[in-house]
Amino acid sequence: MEIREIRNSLKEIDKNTWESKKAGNVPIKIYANKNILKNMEGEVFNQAANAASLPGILKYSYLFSDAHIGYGVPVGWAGAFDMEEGIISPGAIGFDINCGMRLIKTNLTLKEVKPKIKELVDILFKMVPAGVGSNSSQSLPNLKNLGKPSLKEIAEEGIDWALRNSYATKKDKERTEEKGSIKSADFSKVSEDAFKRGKQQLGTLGSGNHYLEIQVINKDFNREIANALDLDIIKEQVVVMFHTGSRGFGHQIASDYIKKFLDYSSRQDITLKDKQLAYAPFNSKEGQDYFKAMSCGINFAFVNRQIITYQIREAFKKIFKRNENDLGLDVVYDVSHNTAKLEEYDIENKKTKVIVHRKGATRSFGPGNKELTGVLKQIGQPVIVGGSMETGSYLCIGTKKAEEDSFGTTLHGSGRTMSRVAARSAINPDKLLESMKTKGIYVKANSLTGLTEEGGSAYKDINEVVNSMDEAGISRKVLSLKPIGNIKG
Amino acid sequence: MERYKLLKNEATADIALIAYGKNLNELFRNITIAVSNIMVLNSEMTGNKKINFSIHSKSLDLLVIDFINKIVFYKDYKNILITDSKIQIDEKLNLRCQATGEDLADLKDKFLVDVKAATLHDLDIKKEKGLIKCKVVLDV
Repeated sequence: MEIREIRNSLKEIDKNTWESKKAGNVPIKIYANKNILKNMEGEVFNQAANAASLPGILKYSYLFSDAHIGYGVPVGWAGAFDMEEGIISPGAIGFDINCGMRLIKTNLTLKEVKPKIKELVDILFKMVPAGVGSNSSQSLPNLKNLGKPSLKEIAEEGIDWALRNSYATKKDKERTEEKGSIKSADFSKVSEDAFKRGKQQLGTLGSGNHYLEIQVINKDFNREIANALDLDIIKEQVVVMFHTGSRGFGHQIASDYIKKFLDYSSRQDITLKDKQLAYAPFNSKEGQDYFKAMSCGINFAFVNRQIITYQIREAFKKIFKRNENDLGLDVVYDVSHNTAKLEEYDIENKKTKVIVHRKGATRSFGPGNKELTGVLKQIGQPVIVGGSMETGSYLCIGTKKAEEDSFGTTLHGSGRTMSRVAARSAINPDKLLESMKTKGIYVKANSLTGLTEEGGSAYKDINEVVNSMDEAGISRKVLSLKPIGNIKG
Repeated sequence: MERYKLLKNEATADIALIAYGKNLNELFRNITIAVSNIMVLNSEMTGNKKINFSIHSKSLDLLVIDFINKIVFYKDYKNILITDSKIQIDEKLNLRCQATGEDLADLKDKFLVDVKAATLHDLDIKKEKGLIKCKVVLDV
């Protein structure tokens, strides 16, 4: 199906919810307001149509308001596959397996943090290695050159490893998607190269769009839910948000299995619309091997974010000379972006397990979901939406409607409008730094070029993108958050 | 002849490039230089680290991917950025590389962006007017 044909076939079936004609095995469903839809790159539709042609895809090929061109499928995409007839594809998950966001609350106010922001950002920059070649030995000697037995435990146990080694609390585990541990992980399916790339990278941020931010609550949209999460605008409460994933470990797993799946496609005479979308049936040996290796990547990323959390707590203790309880550095939630997971949904009045691929998309479970515990069972799952470093971010909450309409999935960020190469020439680094200074944001970055690639004008308007999903009822706004300090790789 | 060019209007979240070469050996050398220049400012390189490796792939497409992924692997595992290379590729797609590089620790102030993988998306290798052109999208 041509891009124009897909565009012309779109009908608004509900508020900010668009459905195309069948574009392969299923239609494309897009969540966006008219303006975002109008400006969505044509290639996004082509990539979503390629995904719609994959075997065993159920209901729709989904695009969210933050969607932009990816490789294989767009970023801001999701698709659920039948366990018997369906497939698993690394290109529909992304290289950075379980790239995700974590939000940590503090008991500190803007008034307390602002005078120390430079000191705080500088120490975090030292304690959480960022940028090209960042590795654990720079900040955590205990994690220097992890041996294979330790990495196996990390990859198979996830946060449970961190809990045993005093890097995590029980509440951290409780507030992490999948409780921070995917049981399908099997380290024997991970290559030697992945081990070698990953063993030095725990507790590191990486580069690209990975960042760590000190933020203050800017506006509330649902005070009841915010308060249930111990967040309060009246106090001008300060929070910490960061974005990172499984680093070289996850990338190597994806690279290894894309090659294996290409071999599989060639053996089975499968014609691929895009080689990056190479796949294997979920129930095949190849599909299961990748699922188990990818699950190791998911666990590695959970531990990576947990180690960074540990370092953040240490940094705050040093700067504010207060104990951990007093500082109140509790995890609000930790969400995954690039994953494929087994989840259960009602399909034609039958409880059915499906393999949900999310690439640059967030799980969005509503109140009462059996995966949620504690207060989250009443309010739903927090959805952390990272914006650009200039424009701020959002905390949203999952909905029942998402579970019914989009296999429990919503957006993950602002979504880019400009390529990195274009941003390098369009955004002046000095002006960007000046603008951030004027907005009261202290930035520490390894690379000025990397910083310009992440400038606010390279992204869609976060407010419009988040509002689109809120109005569609797929995730609801709780708080907007404004940066006051930023670390970029 | 330019060694490579970065493409402004493609790969929104990543980096797309076209590398050129009069033959495969030159093409792969220019890919090395492109990948290195994407990651660091290319001034003041000493090339004081030597790495030799060989790879074999079933197709030319995969040889490009495997070669770039090897550069990425040495960066993450050995903390060495390969900045230049002497390449020999035979008819059976066996590639021998004698590379020079830099310790990442010595490049601290020159980093631009991290290349994490080569993708097959839109990968295109063609010969035009005696010149081999290779378009590849890098995950950054």
